Amino acid sequence: MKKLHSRDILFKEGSEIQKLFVVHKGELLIQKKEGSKLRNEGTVGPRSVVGIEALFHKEPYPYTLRAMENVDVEEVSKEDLQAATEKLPVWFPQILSILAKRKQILKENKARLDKIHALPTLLFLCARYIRHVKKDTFDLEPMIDDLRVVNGLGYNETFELLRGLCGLGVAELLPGENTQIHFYRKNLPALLYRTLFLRMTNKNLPQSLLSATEQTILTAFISAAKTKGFEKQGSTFVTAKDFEAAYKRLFPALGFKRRVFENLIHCGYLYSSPNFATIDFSKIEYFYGELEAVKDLVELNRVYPLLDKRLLEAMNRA
Amino acid sequence: MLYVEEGLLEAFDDNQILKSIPQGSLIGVTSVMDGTPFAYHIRAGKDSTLVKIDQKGLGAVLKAAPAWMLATINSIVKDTQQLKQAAAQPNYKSSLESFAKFLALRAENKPLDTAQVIKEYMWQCRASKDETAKSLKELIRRQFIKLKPGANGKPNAQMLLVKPKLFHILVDYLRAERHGETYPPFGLSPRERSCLEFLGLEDSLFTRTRADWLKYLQLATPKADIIVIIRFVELGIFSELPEDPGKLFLETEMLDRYLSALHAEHNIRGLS
Repeated sequence: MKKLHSRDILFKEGSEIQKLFVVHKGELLIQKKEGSKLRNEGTVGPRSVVGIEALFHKEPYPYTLRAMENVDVEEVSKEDLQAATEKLPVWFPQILSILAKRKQILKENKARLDKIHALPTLLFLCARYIRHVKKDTFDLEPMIDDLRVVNGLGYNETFELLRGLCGLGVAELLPGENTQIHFYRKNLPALLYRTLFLRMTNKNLPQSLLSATEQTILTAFISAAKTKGFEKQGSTFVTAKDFEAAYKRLFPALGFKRRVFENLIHCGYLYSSPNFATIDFSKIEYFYGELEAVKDLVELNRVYPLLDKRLLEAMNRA
Repeated sequence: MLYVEEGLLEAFDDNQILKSIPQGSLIGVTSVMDGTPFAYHIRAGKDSTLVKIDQKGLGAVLKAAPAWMLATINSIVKDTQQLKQAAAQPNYKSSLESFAKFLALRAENKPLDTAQVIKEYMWQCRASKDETAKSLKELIRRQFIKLKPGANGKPNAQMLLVKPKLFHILVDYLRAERHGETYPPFGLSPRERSCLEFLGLEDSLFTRTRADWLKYLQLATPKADIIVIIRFVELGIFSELPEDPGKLFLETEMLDRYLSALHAEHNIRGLS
């Protein structure tokens, strides 16, 4: 039996001693690292068993355990486990191992699902926080606290999710005294949030998602606007000639036709002068639109499918 | 449960072999634990000897196992059940805190669409309809929310957040209560409260020495002493100036938070 006094540490988060402990007497405090701070995550008391993952799966301890009073714990090492199982039928250790593995799989699945389920709240909060800052950058700490209250996702898990988002090329984390996040496009969190919410309510793909052809048109519009565009009445104008030239340069194999513009004009992403509906396509002189909104839309179109396909991968990579 | 003592089994489905189960394997553990049918059919791949492990046999072995091993098995089984249940449950600590914080962040300068906001919240947090309705009722009872008819006369269609700023304070109060702690503004003595109210009238000079602050507070509360000043520094209502440690700066944002909490104490505490 191992005896601990108040404030003694039974094991430290991250240590790999592969032992299991059964608490016989006293309370221990669970402490978890969150950045440079330690957070108290509750207590374990008599009859609790800790370190199952360490003994059965050779995993480092996921938290620090500190005695809050005089504590008695029974220590079980790999050798103890082996000695005990040798005296039992040959099939018995397998039961133990299968049960432990099952628990581990459930735990990992829950951790993954928790992060996925927290994504809408994270985007909702990012959209709220970014509204109140000037440079599309804000401190993460208060937002992480809010996420914990609203959704329950922990600090480290939130960082994993944020790193996943950054892995999709939408933002970057800025280390420093207070870690910050910088979104490359200020409106993107709100757009992604609204798109996900629309998907939930309508079960249909919302209008804001573009076909491949529409995306090529908007990409060419952005390119033409950058070099040849001019501002007028709060919109960015490009001549039809410059637009077509940019389109053919970027997508030489594709046709610059009326049909591919129809939905974009109908949805109000692009406009033409003279009016698209009343004139022959070849006689259109200018195309115009809100350049920043078009850029947001193209970025939304790029990132939205990645949330389903790549976010998990990006989180794992991070 | 079956233990393959000798031979080889095959798991199959529609006559297709899914996997071979060699000697020394144990099958059916998950089925027994979950009370679910076997996921696939099993047949002998070659002559095999199996050991059937029934409850009686398992019970006899468990009796011979050391106490720590029984405790470990119990713990694993209990954790597994909890994890299964938790997978479908919201992750937050308190539904009222979660809903109040969500509303604080969702607030706009106009009434919210009740149905839309509730739908959005339930989607974000996987909260049940019952839990959300309970939280909503509680916020109405504490007079944080008023429901109004919509433009078309539909009852309760609009949600008016009475003072959105107070929602953050409510969440802090609920969190302190959940941890068995005193919410700092409500732990102030009558003398400290009176000093705080007086500080709320301050609108020009925010930096003074300790002695000057004390004199200032004594104008309204003659019993104010240096302990009040020290306590306000601890609570962050006053802060020390790094460039001039002798002087204290009045943190008006914190003061405002304390006063808001005190003025709405009745509602925040939920005293009817």
